[in-house]
Amino acid sequence: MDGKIWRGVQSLLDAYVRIAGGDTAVVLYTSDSQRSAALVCAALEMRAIPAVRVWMAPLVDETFEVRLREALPASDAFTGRLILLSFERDTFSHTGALTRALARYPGERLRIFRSISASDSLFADALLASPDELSRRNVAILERLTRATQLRITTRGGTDLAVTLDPKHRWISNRGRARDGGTVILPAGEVATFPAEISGIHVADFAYNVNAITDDDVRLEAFPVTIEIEGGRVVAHRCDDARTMRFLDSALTTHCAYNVGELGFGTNFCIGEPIAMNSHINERRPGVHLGLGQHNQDPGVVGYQCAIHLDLIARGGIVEVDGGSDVMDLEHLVPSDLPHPESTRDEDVFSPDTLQIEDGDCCGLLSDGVLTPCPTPSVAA
Amino acid sequence: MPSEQEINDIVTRVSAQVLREVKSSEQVFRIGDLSTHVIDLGKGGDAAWTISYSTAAATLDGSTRIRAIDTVAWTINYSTSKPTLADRGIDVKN
Repeated sequence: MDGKIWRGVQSLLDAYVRIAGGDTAVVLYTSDSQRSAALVCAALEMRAIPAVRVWMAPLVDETFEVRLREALPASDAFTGRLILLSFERDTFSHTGALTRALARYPGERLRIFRSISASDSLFADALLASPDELSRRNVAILERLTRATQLRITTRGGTDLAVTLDPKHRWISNRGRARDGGTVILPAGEVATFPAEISGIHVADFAYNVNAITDDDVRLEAFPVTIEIEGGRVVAHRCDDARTMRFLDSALTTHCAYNVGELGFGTNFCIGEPIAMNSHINERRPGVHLGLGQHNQDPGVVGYQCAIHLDLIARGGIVEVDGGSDVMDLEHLVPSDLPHPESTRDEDVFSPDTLQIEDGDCCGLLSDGVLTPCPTPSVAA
Repeated sequence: MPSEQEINDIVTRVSAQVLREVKSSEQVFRIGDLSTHVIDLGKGGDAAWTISYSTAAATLDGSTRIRAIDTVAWTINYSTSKPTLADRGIDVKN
């Protein structure tokens, strides 16, 4: 047992869940995340926390809701909280079924933690950062940028972006916490919004993350991706790796994927180097990333919905706020002790069956540099 | 505080239990390969919801610059049998 992985499991239960006697747990998992489920169940057993497991088929599982309802305890069968923990690697499934099945539990007695990118790195890296520490870093960004209108963002790798923000666009703050009854998306550590205007050069020299299933190595350290942006759209792209270039050629000329739909800032300081797996872990690393394609706003606010979401992630970044009066180094953020704003949204990953096509949905396959989106997102009955 | 050996023993035992659950579940659901599963989903489609995009079509010129070949930015059509979608309202941006 790798010590860092096991510490991450403990951090999940202690710092995120704040597990306590009287709580009872339900652990949901897909086949690709069986190791994560086993580690957490073992840790729960050592703490004498009652737990049941429910296997689920990813994306479509017609009997999942029935099996889940059978596994859920009656609310008077335990004195503490119902803790629901789900683990998936590539997908984010069955949100509708979960919402319906959990509706009978009062919000103050329910905690939901849903992990995407379940892997050893989720525990050994991402979960070592506590929600308290992440929240203070998110606040450090939000307290400045929610009031800002003009940003200049640069990176060591060559990114140089001019951004205009509009207060009508909501901010998302993923910090490992949620409101009562809400859902915590893991890995945590990011703030993001929609850039009202953006232009310039972005050099993704860390990794990419696409909402598709792929075994491709997504690290970009050896072969960074450079995109030119004019008027909020990618107008040119370059990468010296032929396989990545083939993927970009196909993705960026498909549907609306050349729109910049997200301006994101990773805040998880426990993530250092990129991992090869297509994952949300890489985009939580301190730095700036742009999400191409689907945006992170409510339908109608931005004006399009897109099946593709491709994050291009840079290592680090310097943010000059409103003409340089305030400068943030994303890799050396000074945490803030101010209260976290209440206007932000907690979740930044959504399921296809909530009818929102957003970051994290599994929308297709990426194989041999070719992206094949699923033509029709599935909708739960 | 359990010893490292105790931790390893419990993890090994629980992991074996989970593996058995996975194998038995996959036999019932016949889902062992997620990629194949996704391909099958794509083939099957979903009559309840289809989306057609008529977005600004783009192509690459010789220098990989993306050139819009369509002046209409976005037209999105939703077709669904679910009444809940009717009120969502999708803007069309020109």
